[in-house]
Amino acid sequence: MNEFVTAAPDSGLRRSQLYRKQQQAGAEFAGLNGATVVKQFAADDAQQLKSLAMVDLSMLPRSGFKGRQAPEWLTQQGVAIPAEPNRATRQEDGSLVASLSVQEHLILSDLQVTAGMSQQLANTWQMDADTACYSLPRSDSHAWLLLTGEHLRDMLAKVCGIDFAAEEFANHQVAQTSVARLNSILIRDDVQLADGSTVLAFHLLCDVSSVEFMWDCLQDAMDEFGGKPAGLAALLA
Amino acid sequence: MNATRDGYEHVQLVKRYSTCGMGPSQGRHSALATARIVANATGKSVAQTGVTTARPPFAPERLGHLAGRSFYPARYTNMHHRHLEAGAQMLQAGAWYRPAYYGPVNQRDNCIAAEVNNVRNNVGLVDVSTLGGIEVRGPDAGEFLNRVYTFGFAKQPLGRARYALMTNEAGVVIDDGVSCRFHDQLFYVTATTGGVDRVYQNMLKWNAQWCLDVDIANVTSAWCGVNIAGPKAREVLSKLCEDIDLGSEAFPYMGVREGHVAGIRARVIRVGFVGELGYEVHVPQHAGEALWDALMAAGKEHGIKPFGIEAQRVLRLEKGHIIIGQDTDAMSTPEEVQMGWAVSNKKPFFVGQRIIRELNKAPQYRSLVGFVVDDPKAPVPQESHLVIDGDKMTGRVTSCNYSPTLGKPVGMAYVPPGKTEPGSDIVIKVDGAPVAAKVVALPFYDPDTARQNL
Repeated sequence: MNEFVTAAPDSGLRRSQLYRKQQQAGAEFAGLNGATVVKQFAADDAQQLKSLAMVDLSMLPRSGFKGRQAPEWLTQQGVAIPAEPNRATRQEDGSLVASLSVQEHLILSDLQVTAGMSQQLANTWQMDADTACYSLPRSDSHAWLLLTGEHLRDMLAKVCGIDFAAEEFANHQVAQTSVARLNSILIRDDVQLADGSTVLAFHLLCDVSSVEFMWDCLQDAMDEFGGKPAGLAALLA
Repeated sequence: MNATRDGYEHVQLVKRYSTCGMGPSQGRHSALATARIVANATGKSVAQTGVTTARPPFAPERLGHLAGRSFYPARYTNMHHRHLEAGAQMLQAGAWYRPAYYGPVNQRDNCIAAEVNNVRNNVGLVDVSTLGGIEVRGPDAGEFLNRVYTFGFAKQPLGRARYALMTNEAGVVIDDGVSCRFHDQLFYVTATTGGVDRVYQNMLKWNAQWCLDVDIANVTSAWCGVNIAGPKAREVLSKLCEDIDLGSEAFPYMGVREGHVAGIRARVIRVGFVGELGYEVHVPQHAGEALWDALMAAGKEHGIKPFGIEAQRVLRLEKGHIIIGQDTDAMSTPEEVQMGWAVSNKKPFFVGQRIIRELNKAPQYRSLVGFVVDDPKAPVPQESHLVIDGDKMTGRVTSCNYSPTLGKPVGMAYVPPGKTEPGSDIVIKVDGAPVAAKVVALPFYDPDTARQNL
């Protein structure tokens, strides 16, 4: 269920570091299955997502695990591990699991925040002397942005050295690279919009303490193409 | 000119003292001009002073390189905007922005003194989120820390913190922090704001050689932290802590606990960097602002006030605590900076142990000591001012501030043998004029540590 509940961005214990910037840009905030997110910026958010947009997903659940026995442990928990590093695999419940190395994995919630895998894994994991698998605080160490739109490749070319051309960078491929001089994880994960069209999309995760800097850099790079922030409602419609 | 007046007469020292020639042109524009100024100021010729060493870039940069986008990443804590709203003047520490003090620029010294007094007499709150945080986990975690830090950690009890001093292979002090043991196999180690990336890289490098069964994670950004300090700290914190007994026996100095503060999952560390009863509260990064709001609200009736880095520097100086990188340099050994107590002689190995043992056999050529300036009319010495003996440089000041608590300037300086005993007279060259100072025992404040043990 995609039920947005009216909520102030600073009413909860967990607050995105971007909430002030988004407030200034006219964001309407709401609670979604326990997370305070931007519901929408403007009535044309859907059109914006097609053209060029960024959505702050930092309040959505995510987790990470690493260690030489991390793949075995995750498999035991029912996680479908990507076949090779720098790939991502959609899970049955809608979560996305990205393999950052043979021994390190990142689990992202679905956009509806209905998939429980990330939270369930975090709750299940315990320090165990016999299992070399260690949890990582990905919900707090990294901010999470979703970038979408037909101008996305051109925009990214201004801030990142990777060639994201379709034939070079397939859906669910992962790049661990530098964006605006910040270490970042980019995961291509094209999204389907309400009108049935599919649009190019990347998840971008960067150090949470620099997300305001990243937001400004991306906004600056997007201006040339009319890019703007958007809310989650248009993605979930 | 100022550098030569302060006693740095060699062109290489002028470069390091003033940073002249360390900009993007690497001295292309300034090297000769600097040499001429030094020559003029010291009555020598440029041929005699020489010029500083030339380093890349040796060739002109192409305009194409310079025309591209430039990015200068900035880092903010989750509480950053609360500092701005409270009138903080921010300073940069690497990429981080930290509150220097709260209040107008023209009231700087008064603001800092008021913040110091409020911590000493009441309760204050400082954002320590930029401190490095590293988790070392696994069956060999204790052994790993035993090797990378100078103290003993293998037998560190659960629920306890220990001071952690790091030296490099040359026995030089390179970082410090606190090691907190939350589980048999989990140590949460803090590191300095500017040093954590190097500490983390060093840890990875060393374990690539040792192959111990540990996982090392740099979790600096994942945790936000505050230090609530002052005689009323416990009163304020206890309003928000339901599952942690903050009593002095249940939660003694250098204890660590996990629980909830204002409903937020927290790691609480009882530390005393500023020399008062104090607790560092570390919470997940995104909950930092909510923690700040809750503590400020709970402390309102007790007169809680935020304090910045400048007040923290004064408070720690009064307590005689060193700052790595400010009170140490590329040659500082633990014994020189009075940290011999933090070096274990019982364990078989730690990085730097062998050379420290050798160095300790030889007489020291300098020591870090505390000093006070008793003359109320004397100018306050500053960092890097020289300790002199006649026309000879014998040491330098590493920290100095007017102490609101003691009512006079206090500081630390490297001095030569013969000047280390309390009561020794030293002379510091301040803006070209000699200032008399007296060596005193550290700490300046609360030598029995009664305040932090409340």
